[in-house]
Amino acid sequence: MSILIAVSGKGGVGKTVITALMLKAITEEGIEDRAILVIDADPDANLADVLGIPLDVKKTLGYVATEFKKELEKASISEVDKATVLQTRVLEVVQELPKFDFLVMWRTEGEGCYCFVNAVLSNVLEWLMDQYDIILADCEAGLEHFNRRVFKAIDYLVLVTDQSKASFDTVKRVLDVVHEVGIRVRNVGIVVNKFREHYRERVTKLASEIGVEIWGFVPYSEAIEEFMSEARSLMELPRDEAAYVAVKEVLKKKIGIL
Amino acid sequence: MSSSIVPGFPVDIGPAYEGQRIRRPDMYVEFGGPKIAQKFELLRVKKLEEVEDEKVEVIGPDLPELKEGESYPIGIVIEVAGAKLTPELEGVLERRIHDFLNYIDGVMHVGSRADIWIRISKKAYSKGLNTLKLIGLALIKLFKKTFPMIEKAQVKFITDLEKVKEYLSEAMKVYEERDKRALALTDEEVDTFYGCILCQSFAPGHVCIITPERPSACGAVSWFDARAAAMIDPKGPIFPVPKGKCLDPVKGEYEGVNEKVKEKSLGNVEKVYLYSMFDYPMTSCGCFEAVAFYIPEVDGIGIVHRGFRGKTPIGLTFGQLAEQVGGGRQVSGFLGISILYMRSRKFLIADGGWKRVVWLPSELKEKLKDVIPPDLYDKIATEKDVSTVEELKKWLIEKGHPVAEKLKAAEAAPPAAPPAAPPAPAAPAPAPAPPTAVTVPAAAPAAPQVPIRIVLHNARIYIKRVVVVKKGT
Ligand SMILES: Nc1ncnc2c1ncn2[C@@H]1O[C@H](COP(=O)(O)OP(=O)(O)O)[C@@H](O)[C@H]1O
Ligand code: SF4
Ligand SMILES: [Mg+2]
Repeated sequence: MSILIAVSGKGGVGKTVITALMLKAITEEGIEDRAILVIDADPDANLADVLGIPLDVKKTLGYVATEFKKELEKASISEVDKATVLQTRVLEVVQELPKFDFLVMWRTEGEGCYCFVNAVLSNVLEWLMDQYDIILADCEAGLEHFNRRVFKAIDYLVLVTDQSKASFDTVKRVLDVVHEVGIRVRNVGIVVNKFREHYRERVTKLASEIGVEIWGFVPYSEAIEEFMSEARSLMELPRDEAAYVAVKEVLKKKIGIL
Repeated sequence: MSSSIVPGFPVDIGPAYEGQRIRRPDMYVEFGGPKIAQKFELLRVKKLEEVEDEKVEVIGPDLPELKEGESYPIGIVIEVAGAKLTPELEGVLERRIHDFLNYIDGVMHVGSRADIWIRISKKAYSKGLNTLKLIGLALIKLFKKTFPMIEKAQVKFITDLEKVKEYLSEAMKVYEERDKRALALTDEEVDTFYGCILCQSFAPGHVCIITPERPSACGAVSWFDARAAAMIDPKGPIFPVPKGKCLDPVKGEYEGVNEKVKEKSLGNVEKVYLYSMFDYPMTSCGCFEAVAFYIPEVDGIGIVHRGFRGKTPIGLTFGQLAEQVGGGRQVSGFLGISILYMRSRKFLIADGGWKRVVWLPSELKEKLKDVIPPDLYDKIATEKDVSTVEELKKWLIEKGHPVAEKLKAAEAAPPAAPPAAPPAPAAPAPAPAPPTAVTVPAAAPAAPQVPIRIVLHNARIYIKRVVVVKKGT
């Protein structure tokens, strides 16, 4: 049984940063020998940068799907079925890194019908995801169309906010979408990012208004700001950095996988 | 199935292991995959005397000689023989290599043909799965057990790079040959078609029927794709459709198809003609690559593809036409199709095929140059030649297009009755309503006293067209 942790929230609140810190904790301080799959499901796709992995657009699911669509336009018939071909392509873009596997969704380009392509892709992904102990996904707020089919059941939905009302409005919207499209969410909690002590009352109130528990407060961190502007991998953030410690606590106490 | 299929086999064998992916840290070695260009698998049907049963050869280094964690080239050649085996079965049997290798605990197989990826786990290797010969033996046993018509089988594993290259170029020729054969497959030669309802999520009631000569509207699902999907999950969105009795070979009406379409469209669609865009065409979902539309003024067919931004001679763009026919409706005179279908021998044959096509965007015309009959090529107008129906009519008469005969005749005797078969659609409605079928007991016109049924489509705003069908046909 794999555990799916999906991180979502308004753009810019720090979803990618939180995902990266979670990954750091899981790979460096978690139980060894667990199979981990990290999915960048945000069309903005900057998790690779934050993790210090060179992003090759050709090694993304969106690229595979788009290229595949282009091939279809050649309008030829092969006795080999396309699903087999597409499955192979998908497995080829799963990057196998020493501590975890990494898959970037990216986006599809070009119009026309993606029904068949998407059906094949989501089947492969479903099978693939089943092979891991932990799946960690950096998702955008809307959970766009394709992601909705892939993340049919989320074990831990981590909704990242900052102190702004807008970021809490997004939390509410994400929950509405999730409910509307019938995604099963087993646990949901808010992680308040870029936190400063004097926001506490305000964000606690905002959270209680939408009835979602706050799982953690991740303090504003100059080190993160600095790492990001220097394009250094967050995996190298010192282990005593308060923001990292806070994320680790969430994994330990609320998600229970450390 | 258990390891008993090969006595003393070091690891288990069975479908239970099929879903396993061997991750890089757990693999002993891998063959093929993204890092290796030289890779293939090939199954050939041979004569009985050409096959030595259960012989397994390894040409090149075997597992113990390989470095742990590395990637290597691979070729798998399986030769089978049996009195009842025919070369047409090669492809289907070859696809089963995938299943059978995956049955072996500690072996992962992905892909097909010249695009394969195999991993052997460290665990299996240390348990004694330390030669390709064992894997070959398991393959042979599984093939023979699953397909009793296989009387003899032998396997070659090629791991020597130069040898793989040699064999690979041979294999490529075989694959090409098979694809040619696939393209030549006719609807008459098979007894099962397939259906797809993937698009029902947004086009309720839509069912694509997929035959060797009638690929799906989206162009993504060929009969071979559908067959593979239905084999894996026959209860899924892509399912088999037993052809049943052929009711009309020209229009392409089959009893089995009608039944399945009715069932899967939840009664929305009663019957379909596979090779016609009139009366009972296939429903159109919205995914189609092109729309064929009837132009009553010239009694011809125009086709516009998704990439064309301009207006068709009837004044509508692809998008507007798509909106008109999409959503899973059956609209006589309009049909969503794939480019692939336009390459088919059965392309709208009931309606006259290419002889009836009068307008195409120039880009599409160019793309289909090799399938449009040469004597028609210059007679089909494009957006560069005409922009209205009037201009089109002139062009067709001038060029002597096959439909021009009738046009000239009609001009000579204007009030002649319109052709009986295709109903004449009026100007399309801007906001199409779902089809509302109303059966009206109509007073038949003066002439023959036949009971008729009048179906009113899109009657919410105004009557878009009236279809007159003889009762009982
Ligand atoms: N805890 C934090 N402390 C300081 N800066 C942060 C923190 N979390 C995120 N940031 C900054 O916020 C910006 C947006 O973060 P990011 O994770 O990319 O957001 P998202 O993925 O939600 O769009 C980044 O440039 C990062 O430097
Ligand atoms: S258009 Fe393609 S995906 Fe849609 S129902 Fe037809 S075959 Fe299936
Ligand atoms: Mg992000």
